[in-house]
Amino acid sequence: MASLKKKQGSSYKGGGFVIAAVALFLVLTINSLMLLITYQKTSSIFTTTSKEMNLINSANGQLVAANTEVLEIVAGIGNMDGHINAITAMFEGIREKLDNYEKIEGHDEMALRRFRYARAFIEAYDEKLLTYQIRLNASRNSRDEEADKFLAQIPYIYQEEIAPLQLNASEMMVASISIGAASANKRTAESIRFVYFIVSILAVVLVLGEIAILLVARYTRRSIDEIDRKNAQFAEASSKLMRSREKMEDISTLNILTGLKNRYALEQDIGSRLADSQFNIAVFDLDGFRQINDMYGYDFGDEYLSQIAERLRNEFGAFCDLYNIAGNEFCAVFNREVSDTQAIHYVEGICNAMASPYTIFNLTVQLTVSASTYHYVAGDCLNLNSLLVKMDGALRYVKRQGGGRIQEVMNI
Amino acid sequence: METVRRKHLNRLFAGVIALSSVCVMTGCGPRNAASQRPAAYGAKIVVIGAASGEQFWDSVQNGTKEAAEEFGYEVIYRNAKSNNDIDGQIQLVHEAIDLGAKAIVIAPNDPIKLDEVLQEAADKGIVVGTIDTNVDTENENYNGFVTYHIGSANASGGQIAARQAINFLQSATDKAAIIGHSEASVTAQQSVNAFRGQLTGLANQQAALAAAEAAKKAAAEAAAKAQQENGGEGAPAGTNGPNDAQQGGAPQGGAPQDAGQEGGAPQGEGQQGGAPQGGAPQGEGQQGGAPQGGAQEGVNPVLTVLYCNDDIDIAKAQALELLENSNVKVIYTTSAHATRGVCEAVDEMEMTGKVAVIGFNADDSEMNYIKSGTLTGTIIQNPYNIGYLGVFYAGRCINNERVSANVDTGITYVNKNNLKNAEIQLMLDPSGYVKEHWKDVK
Repeated sequence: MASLKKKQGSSYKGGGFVIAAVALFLVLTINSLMLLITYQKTSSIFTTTSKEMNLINSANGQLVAANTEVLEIVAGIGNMDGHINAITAMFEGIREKLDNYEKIEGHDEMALRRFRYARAFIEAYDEKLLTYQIRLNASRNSRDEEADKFLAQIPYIYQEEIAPLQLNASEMMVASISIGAASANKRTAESIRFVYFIVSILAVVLVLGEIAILLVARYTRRSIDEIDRKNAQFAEASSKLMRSREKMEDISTLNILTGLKNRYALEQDIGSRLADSQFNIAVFDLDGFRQINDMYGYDFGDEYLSQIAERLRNEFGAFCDLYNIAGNEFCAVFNREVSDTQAIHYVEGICNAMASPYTIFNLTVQLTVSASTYHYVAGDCLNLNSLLVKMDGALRYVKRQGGGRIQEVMNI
Repeated sequence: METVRRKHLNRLFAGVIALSSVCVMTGCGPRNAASQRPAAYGAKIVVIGAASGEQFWDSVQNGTKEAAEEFGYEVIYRNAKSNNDIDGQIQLVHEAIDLGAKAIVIAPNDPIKLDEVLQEAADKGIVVGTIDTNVDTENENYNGFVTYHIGSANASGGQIAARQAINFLQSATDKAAIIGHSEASVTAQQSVNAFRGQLTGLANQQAALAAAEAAKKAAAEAAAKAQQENGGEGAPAGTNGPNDAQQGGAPQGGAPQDAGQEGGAPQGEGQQGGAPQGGAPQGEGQQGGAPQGGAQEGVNPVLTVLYCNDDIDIAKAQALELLENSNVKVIYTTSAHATRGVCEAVDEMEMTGKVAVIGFNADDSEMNYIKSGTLTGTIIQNPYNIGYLGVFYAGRCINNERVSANVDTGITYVNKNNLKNAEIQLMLDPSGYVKEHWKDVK
């Protein structure tokens, strides 16, 4: 039992570590999932950002190239048609890239705002160039005084109307690129911060969980130990109780003075046999024993009875169960193997043994013994009392006759 | 004993796994997300404007504010009391240094007097940038403490104004007057000198063309007369007269010689005036130029240059005096206050349409005068972008990025005809324009 409990206790302790391992596995799994999600999120940010940056950088590159073409027109360098065609193509490309940039979702608010400023200047710049491109073509074709005047004014037109738009468009574009780059870094950093946040929470949960499991396991182990200790105490107490009970049972069925079984034990032993068994039983009584008690005291009488019991147990214990059913009254229930004749023989032997002289406290005493024997046949008596009444009747008869002899109880 | 040892090993194993996972989970990746931020992130940038209570500087401030929002800088914006408040600006620079600014962006009200304090800031590792106006970088004591300058070329403004003004000078007797906002102001001086030089050159060129035309006409008449007298024989001698006249008839004296405030080749602007030389204008360098060499006399279209100390009432009084007592057909002003004073005078004299007023900068008042016709036109800068780029460049410098030393944000001319054009609205109020066209922009 104790071993079983110990086994159960040790199994539970191992369970704590299993739970810890499962928790650890779950946390690591969640962590891995989080990292995967974050990787995908970061990857998406990188893709979007790189798309944004490519478009805006490319648009800016074309804007710079267009600016160069415009300056060459103003300076009168190179082929005019070539410049105009190049500018037209570049602005078509810029417009396309700006449109594509707008189509991307999830722009940073600040980057988009600066992009809009850049776009506003670029569109105004484009429109202004278109206006003057038409006039330039017309002037180049006509070459009249008005056209010459216009051509001569080109540097001033550039200074007053084109340069401000050109310059601000470029600067706003550069600012937009810077904000876009900063925004990409910011979004990436936010993503990483998010990972740190989640992972930190998981880590804290993990550590706290492990600590909690260890504490619970320790507490449980202590509780189990306490229960084991209580169980041991209980088992010990139970054992003691059993022993006390057995002792009490012994005390209740034994005559403390002589060590022989008492009348209660007799009833237990043969009470249930009365209805269906036959056996030989005899009752013995020391004649005049009361006078011994009165003359030498109860201690003397008790020692006298004790020695008689000891002798009977030694000499006849193998053939019968011996009882001390009352003060100086003994009873012998013979074994099944003992025949009726042998029983008579043993009764006489017991009488002789009891009637022998005994030395008690250096004083020798000897009393005669009256006895009654009964060859009991199944169903003769309803209970032990009626049996003993019969036997006591026979014994009283012998006593009345002067004692010192054996009287057989007759079957009815 | 074996059980106890196994128990300890189990604990140790669990502890190691837990700690390892914590280390793995918290230790991987970049050490610090904040480390990806540029150095300028959160940096304190102090912007010091030239004057309080002017819409120009309100727009500059708006630009600095949006740049701060977009790049994550801490911008502290301060204005001097007025364009003449030099001591106030020195005090503000000291305060900026004490505040621990990483950059100071300033519109210096004096080209030299702020050198010492700005040098002190630069010596402490503070980025110094200038907007709108600059310190005198030609000064022998200047050692390059200004990292960048963002602004419009005031001289270009003067030139553009002059090219508009010439259209209102129909004869040599028609004059232009200039009312500058401050004689001490660098911007005023640059603008005034450029206007005067450009206008003088154009007037002389116009006079030369007129003279050539007249000479050509006279030669033609002389030829016709000679033909009549000679009975139509042969070509008259001197038929090349017009060519001679055209080549030599232009005033050859270049700048007028009546020195003083008026006339003369503008000093400090290089050679200015005259016809454009082709190609892109050269800014502060050789601009047009009066006809080179030759005759000693030329046209001087500029009657006078006055300064109003950026006071509306003084400007008005000066304009009233000019309108009452001279043949001034054009008045050029170099600030919003000066423009307003002149417009009030023109209205008071009921001379709208009879005198052209060309202003510099634009606030609501100037826009209303353009709409009413009192103000013929005005030179506008892009104050929003000046402020925005001033802070943007400051951040780039703090991040140790290379930037242009000088950024011209452009200047243009606005009048009643182009007032509503997109490019003008963008220059006047880019923030309002963008927000009107894209409702999602905040």
